[in-house]
Amino acid sequence: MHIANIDRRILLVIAGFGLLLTLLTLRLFYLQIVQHQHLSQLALRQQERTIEVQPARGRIFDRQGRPLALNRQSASFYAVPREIQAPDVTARKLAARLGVPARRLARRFKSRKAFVWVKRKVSDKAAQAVRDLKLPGVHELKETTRVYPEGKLACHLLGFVGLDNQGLAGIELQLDRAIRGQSGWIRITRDAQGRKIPASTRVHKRSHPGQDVYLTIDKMIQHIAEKELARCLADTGAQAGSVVVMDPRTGEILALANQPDFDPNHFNRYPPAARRNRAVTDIYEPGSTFKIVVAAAALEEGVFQETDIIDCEQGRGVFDGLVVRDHHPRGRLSIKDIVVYSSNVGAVKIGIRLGAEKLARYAKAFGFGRPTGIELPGEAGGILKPYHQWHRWTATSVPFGQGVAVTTLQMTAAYAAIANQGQLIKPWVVKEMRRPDDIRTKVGKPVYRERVISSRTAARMRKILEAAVNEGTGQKAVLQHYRVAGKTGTAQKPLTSRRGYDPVYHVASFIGFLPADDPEYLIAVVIDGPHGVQWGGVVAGPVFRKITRQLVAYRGLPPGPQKIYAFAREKKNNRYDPRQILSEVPNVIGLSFNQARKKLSASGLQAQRLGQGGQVLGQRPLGGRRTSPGSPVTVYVADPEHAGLTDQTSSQVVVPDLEGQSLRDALQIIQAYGLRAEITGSGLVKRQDPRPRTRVKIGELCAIHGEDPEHTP
Amino acid sequence: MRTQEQQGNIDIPVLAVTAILVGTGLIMVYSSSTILAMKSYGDFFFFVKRQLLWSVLGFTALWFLAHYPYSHLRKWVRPALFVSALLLVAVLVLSIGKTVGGARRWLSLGPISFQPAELLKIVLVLYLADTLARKGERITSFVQGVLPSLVILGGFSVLLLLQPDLGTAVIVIAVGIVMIYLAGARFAQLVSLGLAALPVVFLLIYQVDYRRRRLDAFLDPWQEPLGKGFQLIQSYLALGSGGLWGRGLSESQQKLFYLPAPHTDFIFSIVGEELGFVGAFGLLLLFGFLIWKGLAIARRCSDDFGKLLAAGLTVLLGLQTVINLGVTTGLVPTKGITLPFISAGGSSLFFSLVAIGILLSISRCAPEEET
Repeated sequence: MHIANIDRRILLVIAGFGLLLTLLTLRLFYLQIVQHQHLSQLALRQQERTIEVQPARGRIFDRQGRPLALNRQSASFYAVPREIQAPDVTARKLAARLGVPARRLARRFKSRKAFVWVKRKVSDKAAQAVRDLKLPGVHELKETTRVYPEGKLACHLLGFVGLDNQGLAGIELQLDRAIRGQSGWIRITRDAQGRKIPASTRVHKRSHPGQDVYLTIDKMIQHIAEKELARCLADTGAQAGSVVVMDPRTGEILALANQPDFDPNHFNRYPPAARRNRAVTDIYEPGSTFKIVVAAAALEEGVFQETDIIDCEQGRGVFDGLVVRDHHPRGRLSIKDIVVYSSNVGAVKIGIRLGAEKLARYAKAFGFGRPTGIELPGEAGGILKPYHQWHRWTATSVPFGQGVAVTTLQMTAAYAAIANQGQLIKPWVVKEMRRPDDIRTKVGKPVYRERVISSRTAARMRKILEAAVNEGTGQKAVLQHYRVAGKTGTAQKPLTSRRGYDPVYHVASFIGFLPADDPEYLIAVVIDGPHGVQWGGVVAGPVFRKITRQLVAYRGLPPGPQKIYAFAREKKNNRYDPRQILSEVPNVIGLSFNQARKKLSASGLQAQRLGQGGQVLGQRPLGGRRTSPGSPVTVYVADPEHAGLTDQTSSQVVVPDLEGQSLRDALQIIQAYGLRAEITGSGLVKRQDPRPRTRVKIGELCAIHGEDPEHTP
Repeated sequence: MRTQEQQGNIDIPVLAVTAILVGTGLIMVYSSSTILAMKSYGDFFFFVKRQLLWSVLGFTALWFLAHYPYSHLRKWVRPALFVSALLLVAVLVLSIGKTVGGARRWLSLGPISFQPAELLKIVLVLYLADTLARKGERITSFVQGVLPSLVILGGFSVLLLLQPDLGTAVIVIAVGIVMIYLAGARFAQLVSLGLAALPVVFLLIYQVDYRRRRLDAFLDPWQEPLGKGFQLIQSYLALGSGGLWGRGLSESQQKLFYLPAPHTDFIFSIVGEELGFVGAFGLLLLFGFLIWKGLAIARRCSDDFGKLLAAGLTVLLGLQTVINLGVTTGLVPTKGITLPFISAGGSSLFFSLVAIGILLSISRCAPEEET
């Protein structure tokens, strides 16, 4: 017996399958033929892995092109765990050469990852040792390492970079985007577990090196500042300190030093406190250095003249219940002498006459309470409350620098306004940025902010500050033969735990500039918590003097008449006449050194020899100029056969080409030409400044930089 | 009831196509699994060796069954059904059940493990062919004709769902419904039955989280290319990058750990990637040929049991094929159904060859109505 219609029904099932299979065929056609391009591109995208190629980081130089941050190629080792047959043995061998714990390595080698680091940025010696092992599964990769050839020099400015060459502090962080450059990439075909499939490596994009940065810093000045700051800390036992050297005419920072410091090559070996750029990020109550604000405001507003007298109440005044004391009690003082002898009582009285609102306005105008805008990360704005929030005692304490908090950099900028005709100027550190093809992408320019006081008031303030150095609290800052102006500060440190001030430790500071009448250098020295003597003039003043002494020698700042105000005070009735106190310098060019020395000492001057040889080729100051009695005259001596190189009357010399000479030979040649040499690097001369065949004055600085021919960075 | 003892010749084209499919399967399993096998078992040939062993066992069973009169199978139906039920329960209850991927589907017997569900599919087709052939005219009555089969089907589906194995349950029910239809049940009955079952299927899917995710992924795989839609998208990428002629044998990139299960459920994607549209379509034609031949054998057979058995086995293989291909091309939600003869997997290959063996036995019965 048969089921009815079964064959017809089977035919229907056949038809059904035919329909389904046709549908599947169409679907396959759609996916494999129509969508082929689209889908295979998507597949390719996931099957390729992009490996970043790190660009070479831009270098950092000082204002004269001396390198502060460079790059070095170094070896990094990684492992492909599945290629390692004996993880424990491999780990032990590597551990012995790389100083990584064997157990940690073994654990990595036993992981299921496709890629693990062994150690990155290995020293050349260790790298060779690892290479010699020829371990299977251990591979090498070239990475660039940041190198700071000068070690700790300018560490807080430069900052440092992390393992992946990312800027983490300082200029390295601030300009990271420009310095870092553009990463390139390599695309490598891979499987879903990230393993490279052999023989399919393709480069897609090259990396572009980052931009070079030229700072306004001068390496030599930076070195001087750091050296003197460190010495001061060692002598006084202070915990910390900062020095800022600025060209007040432009706002360029020539040096910025902090203590404690660190080596950016090994930044992680130092505590965070050592890595802080205190001059920029840390605030303190400034004390007496802040008195310039109230004094300048009073002069500008015509509230007082320099000669007006105020009773300073023998160093103890009570204002609205607040007791104010002076360190050096005095009775009646002129406005000038209130600054010169740093009377707090006097400053408060000036402030009261000026009025709190104006005081607040001037403090703000001098740049306090807001960041200066320097190109460095983490800058603090300090604390200056707006006038409507002032406590009745605020107006009493601000005139002598309490109840406000400032950064060293802000103080520097405020003094620069007085040095710079009363105009506030922005401090800056980036002089130039250049692409690898030497095209300048940024050229730093002075940024002048609002006028704070008139240029006349600024000139009057400079005279007062010059007197403060010569007659008052700043006498330790006096530099012979130069006119120096400045102000001391001995500020109390607010306690962090409770109200009130530290009974023992103070912040000792000195901020000054020279030459007093037309300032070229402005130096702020802030020493935090010296032991023993706390006076700003005693602690910070000598640091200022030592720095300026080396600074003027290095930069060749001509000496000026000394102690103008001291002299004027002694002979009150005589008008100042330079001819009476200055000696004329004799011409000694062409003489032997001994003859020259005799001739100079006959005029009451000291001979300072520079160079070696039998004949004087040049001198500074030149014959016929005037200088202070007893001041040094530098004479440049060389062998007579080089005499023809110079033009004796103009005392100029044609700079020789030194490239390729050994540094030792180059030094002798430079001295023979009557120039001073400044040497960096080692090996053969690679760069020189000034360029060959330029005409310069004898006694100018000639900088040469040597590089070892075999390893060029 | 007549029994055919006359010995005709076995259907050579069916045997040949089966052999070609199994051979293709071996090559594709080799191509898609070596790297995975090396990584998981440290042996390039781990899956291929197993597949080869099972195909030898399978062809032995095929040869035996091809020469075994299929009508004698009827007496084994009830014991086999009982054993299948027992094994399914054993998988669920006993600790010998091996858990793979969150489901208990395997029975481990020493070195070999097999899926009772694969046995069950054949046994159920045998049972339905037997019982429906007995019903005759009564099939048109719902209670007497259709209901008993449905109860058995339903019972086994519940056991399968407990594993859980929705894919096999769907296949079993679908094959059952086709066989009931072939046995003469009224179409309207089946349609209304199907409509009544819809809410149940919907509930089954939406109550279980991973099934719902599969359905969502099917509806819009690009929504979460790295999440739910990952497997389907990887399958698209494999098929799509194959193009017309394919990347060439063993050149698949997608098998390098992108496409999950490249040697089992998604082996067809690798076929499409390596052999292109041409190869994939060729494989489709082979399956189509086999289905057509199987159903032709059913038509040609002279007794109802043979007809129903041949048709049932063919529909079983055919539905698995169509659903697997539907899954890999994104027409059907992910089910976990292997491609017969091709996918790696011993039980599936073995029982597919068992089905062909029975089919070949039926093919030997003399064409009664043909001239």
